[in-house]
Amino acid sequence: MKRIRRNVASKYKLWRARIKPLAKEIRLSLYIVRRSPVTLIGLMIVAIFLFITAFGYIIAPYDPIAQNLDKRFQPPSYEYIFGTDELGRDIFSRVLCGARYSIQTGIVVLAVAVPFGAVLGATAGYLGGKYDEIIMRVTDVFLAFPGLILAMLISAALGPSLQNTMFALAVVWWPLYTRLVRGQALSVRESAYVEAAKSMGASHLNIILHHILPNCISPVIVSVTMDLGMIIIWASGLSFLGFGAQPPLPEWGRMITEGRIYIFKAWWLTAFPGIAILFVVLAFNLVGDGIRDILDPRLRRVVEVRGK
Amino acid sequence: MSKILVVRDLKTQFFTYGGVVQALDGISFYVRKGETLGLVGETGCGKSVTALSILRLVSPPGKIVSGEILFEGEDLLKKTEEEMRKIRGYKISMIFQDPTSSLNPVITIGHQVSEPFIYHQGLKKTDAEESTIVLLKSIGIPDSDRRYKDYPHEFSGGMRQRIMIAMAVACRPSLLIADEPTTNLDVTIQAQLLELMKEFQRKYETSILWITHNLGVVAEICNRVAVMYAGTVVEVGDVRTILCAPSHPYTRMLKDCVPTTSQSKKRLQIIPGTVPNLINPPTGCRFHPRCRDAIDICKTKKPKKTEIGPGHIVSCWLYSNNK
Repeated sequence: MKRIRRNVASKYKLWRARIKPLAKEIRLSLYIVRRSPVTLIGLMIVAIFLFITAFGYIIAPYDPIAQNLDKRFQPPSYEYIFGTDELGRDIFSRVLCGARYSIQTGIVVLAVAVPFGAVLGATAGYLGGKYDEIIMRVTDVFLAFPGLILAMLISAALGPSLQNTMFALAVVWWPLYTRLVRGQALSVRESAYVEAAKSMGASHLNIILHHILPNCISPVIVSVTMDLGMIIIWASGLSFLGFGAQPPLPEWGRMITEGRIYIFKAWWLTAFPGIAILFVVLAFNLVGDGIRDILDPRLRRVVEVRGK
Repeated sequence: MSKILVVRDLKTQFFTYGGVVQALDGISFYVRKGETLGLVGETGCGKSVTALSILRLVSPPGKIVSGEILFEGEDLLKKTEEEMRKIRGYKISMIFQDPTSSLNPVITIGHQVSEPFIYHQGLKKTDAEESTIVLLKSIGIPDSDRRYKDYPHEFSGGMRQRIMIAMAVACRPSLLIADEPTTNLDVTIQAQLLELMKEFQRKYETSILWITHNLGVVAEICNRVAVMYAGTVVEVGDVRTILCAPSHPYTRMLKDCVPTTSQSKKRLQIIPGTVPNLINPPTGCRFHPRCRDAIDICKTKKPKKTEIGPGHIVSCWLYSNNK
């Protein structure tokens, strides 16, 4: 029994020692965030947004798709905070439930586009030569299309639905990450540690995964946070044009389209989903800026020294 | 003692826009098992290119044009890329000059040092971790089980170079190429690392190719010395001969450039002129424009190798009989 306890204690000590540098890093990151109120505001909005994403359907006071034709075009009031739309549906509930579709689109698109684009970019940048040419020319072909037109084309060809919009946006988005990572990889591959890894007998795959990609990742992280907002706008835009979410799904872009006709009679149909998009996109951009500060090693060093 | 590495007539060139840089112009030398050969010369004379050529890591526009590199009797230039990858870090490994930039800043040092174990000995991650901790301890990193998880920037320069050495010796290579590993370190650390390398060499009978421009280090660690000038090997001999009684004019002048305490009142000697442009190297002996003792034949014909003592080879017309 005693031996077991000692064993556990030593394991815990080892774990503590291991976690210590990480904890230090996290504390430093929090300190940098705390110094920038704008990032803090962004983070708060993102937190609220994520909360709504998770619990929107539960906290919504009304069913977002239930029609109540007696209560059409109710202006904002105590009963209906954001008013009701042309079918008597509660806009507040619809905005709350719609958060889910926006974040879902953003995350799915980035989860597909970023790894795909980053690995291709790292490969192109590291291997260079004909591999670089082939990958980058294909990328150029995708970049040559105006993004929104390409996304519309793919959505239209596959048929309008939220899934197809996600796919279309992923197709539009990966080349940006290929470019970004390739540029980084070009400078990283010349570094002495890549040479050292080669002299240790590392394979190309090992070098790309362990040495190139981790050193290219910080601009990607910043880009991801910013792009999350952009993708939400684009997805809303596609929905607005009729390609994305289909009625009666309470998607924000879709809600704006449907309220568009009544904009002079009932402004609240378009205004509230619009404001929701504005806040979320703004929040992600603010957080993106904050993350850039956190990842900036020079700033980090300054803060670290001053903090002590 | 058997020769573990024989380099014969190695030519490496860089095909640049400005012309072909003849970085190595047919160099030859050998390293015996368990000995340390010092490769000495000025900056830009091709020492590092020699090291990279042996590992076949010369990257475009550079190319090994001709010659052979026999390692344990096999020609490395005839091996496939895959076979070379298995030799690098396992049979031959290299320690780089600048430990600050040779360690990946975003990966823990434990991860980096364990890489050769994973690549070459097929160890699993946890086993590699254990071996790495033992290795780091043996190389003189205190608290290695804790520091294993630290990043390169949390170590001092000397510690980082120890880590680089640990990586290089992880698989107990039979040949170690050290490319000026102690250049940027202060003398006390330098002395410690030299001692460490010597100890390792004694233990595992490793051969070392020690690249440096520091004659003091050469005296400390090398058994034999090869002196390079502008992409050629001008003189090879054992360390005593080269340092005390050099024969080639370049080696003699190089030795005179080292400040000593006994001649403190005298002005420091210099070699007039600069290292030649290797796109358009001087005809004949590459050293003749700066040589005190140059004769007519030096300007037109390349000097032949002449053995003037046991194992003491000089490439100079002054010592050649058949002019």
